[in-house]
Amino acid sequence: MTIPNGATRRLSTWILLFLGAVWSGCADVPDDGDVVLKIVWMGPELETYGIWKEGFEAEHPGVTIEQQYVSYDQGPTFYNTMIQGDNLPDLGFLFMGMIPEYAERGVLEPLDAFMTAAERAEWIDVALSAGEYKGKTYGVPLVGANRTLYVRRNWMQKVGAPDDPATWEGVRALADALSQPPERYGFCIGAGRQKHLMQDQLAMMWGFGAHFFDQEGKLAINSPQAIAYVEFLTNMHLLDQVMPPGILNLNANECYAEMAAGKVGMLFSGPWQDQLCRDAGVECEPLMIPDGEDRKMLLIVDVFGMFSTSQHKELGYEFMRFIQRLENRRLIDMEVGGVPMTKNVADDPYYRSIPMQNYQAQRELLQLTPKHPEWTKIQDGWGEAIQMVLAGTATPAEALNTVYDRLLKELENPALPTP
Amino acid sequence: MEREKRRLAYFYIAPAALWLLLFMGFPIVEILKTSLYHTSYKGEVFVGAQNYTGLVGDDIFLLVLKNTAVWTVLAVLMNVGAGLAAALLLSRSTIICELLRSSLILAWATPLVVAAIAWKWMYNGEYGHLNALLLSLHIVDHPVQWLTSASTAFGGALFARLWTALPFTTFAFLSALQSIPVHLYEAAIIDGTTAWQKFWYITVPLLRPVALAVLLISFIWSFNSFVFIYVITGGGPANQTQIMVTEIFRRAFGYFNFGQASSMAFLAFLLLVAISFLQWRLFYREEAES
Repeated sequence: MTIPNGATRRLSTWILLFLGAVWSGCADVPDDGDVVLKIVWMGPELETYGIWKEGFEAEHPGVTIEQQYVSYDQGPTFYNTMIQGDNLPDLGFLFMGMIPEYAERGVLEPLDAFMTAAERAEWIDVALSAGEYKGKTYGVPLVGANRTLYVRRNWMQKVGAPDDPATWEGVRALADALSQPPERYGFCIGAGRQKHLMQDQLAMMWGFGAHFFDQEGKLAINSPQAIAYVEFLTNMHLLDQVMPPGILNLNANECYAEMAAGKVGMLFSGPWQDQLCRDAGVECEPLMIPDGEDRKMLLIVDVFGMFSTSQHKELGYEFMRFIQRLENRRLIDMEVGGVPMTKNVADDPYYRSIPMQNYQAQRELLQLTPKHPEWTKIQDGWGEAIQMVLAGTATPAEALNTVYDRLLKELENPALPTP
Repeated sequence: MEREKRRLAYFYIAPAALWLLLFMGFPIVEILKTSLYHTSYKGEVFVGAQNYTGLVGDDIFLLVLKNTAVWTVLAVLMNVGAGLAAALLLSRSTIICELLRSSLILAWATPLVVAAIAWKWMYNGEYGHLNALLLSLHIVDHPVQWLTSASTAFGGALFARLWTALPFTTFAFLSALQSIPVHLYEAAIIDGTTAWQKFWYITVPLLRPVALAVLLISFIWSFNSFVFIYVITGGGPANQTQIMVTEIFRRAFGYFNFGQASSMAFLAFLLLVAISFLQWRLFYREEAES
């Protein structure tokens, strides 16, 4: 028996088609003279990105901006896959916690060679430092938001609590006063997602003198202050019952929506909360961070970085320069509810709104999260410990000690890196 | 002549073998290789079997292992049990059965992620349909927080998974039921058997080959069922509902710990191969004997 001619021909055709497909997949995009700048944005597809693209392309004939969007949740996975596949874009939207890790992995390009002293001076120091690691600048601020307490002022008046809480005990008492379960609850915290849990309670944790790292830079998530703080937070939930019972299944955005829906009296949120409440026809106002051991306000900065594999570094930095312009910064701040990242801002009523005034009044309190290359692990571990306690499956000391021991084993270096 | 035949056989299976080697063999070898390295932001370091030995003292891995065992066993039992029951109920040729059979396709046709998101909303403590139903029927007097405790969250995800897996098992059993010769039942009636005896002595033995195949597929699918845990519980609260596949994903893509994730993936692969092999042996022995 011999191989039939027809079969040979069919097989050869398939092999040729397969090879053709492989070749066309591997081949470069035909060069039509255009330079393509690839950008990955995390989060929703903002109108601002489209305006920036059009504006930059108009100013730079022959340059095309190719934009790719990925959800916040999937961002780290997306970048990790791209790093593994050596397939990174030119520029990318990064969480500030990614900077130390990606800088250590050598995938980010230091921007110091591109950035002039005048450009550097234009950024607010704490905002710019979000993109810095070990003395180098790996990204510029894209958008930032502080986390402060927002409260239903009219509810405060109704329950006879006219004064803003001056201490964290005062916050707890106010939450208790505002709470009328099951119709409404005094306080909400995005405990369903570990990252949100960390962000939502950090100012309160600092208020108890608790920190992720001690003064020597060693991991200290189970310090006596941290245990005392977690006990306080847990008591608010389990003892006072001032938080919605489904708290372990709510993320931060769902808490923000709960306040707008008239079900929550107080929470940590960003400037967007003001608009959310107004859109829903309810009154909410930002408060000042109460006094405590360490009075600080968390600033979350999303950073715009350049990847070291970029073939268009000059042009990439040109785009960063473009979005640093005040009229361009205004667009993103207004669309997402960001706070000023530059010392000067565009002349717009947005920057004079109540949340902005509150932010400006507390600017000296701004603090970032610690810069550790394995910050995600630390943040998630902390969140996991609090989830265990809120779920009532462990005491604060048990949960924090368990996670601390695990992190000591798992982290490459359980201390803050020194420059 | 025999040689020619063999050459032709090799020629025909070559593309499939090449395909399998490329897309199955290569990743398996690559995972095995990666599992021998410690990966972190500092780079890759060869550590031999350390990733495997390290799992022994890893409390999260042990929890994940326990969760995976519970998840898989319960999912398989529920799937096979409910699938068989549904098939027996729907095997009659009535209009209602026809309609119900057709409606089962809906659950099958729904993309898994869409189904998982829909179920997550149904379980929502405040706005969920499930609580609304239970409250309206006065079965509960206050909303139940289905996804905040490990046991109810796990149960909820299991039920959602069953909803999407049930059509396949039902149709598999249904087709097997319909292929059982009617004269066997007729003969049994003449012999004066009860309904239970008919089921036990005719239906069950003749369903056995299909049941074994369904068991194997259910086992593999349940073990690898990523979507329902990832979407509905996210592994929480505090990793209490994390299973092997979600933990592999978390370690690899969340923490860039590809070495450890690969060691877990390789162990999972070995386990699935072993169980598949056992079931396959069992199946073919039964076949040969029959």
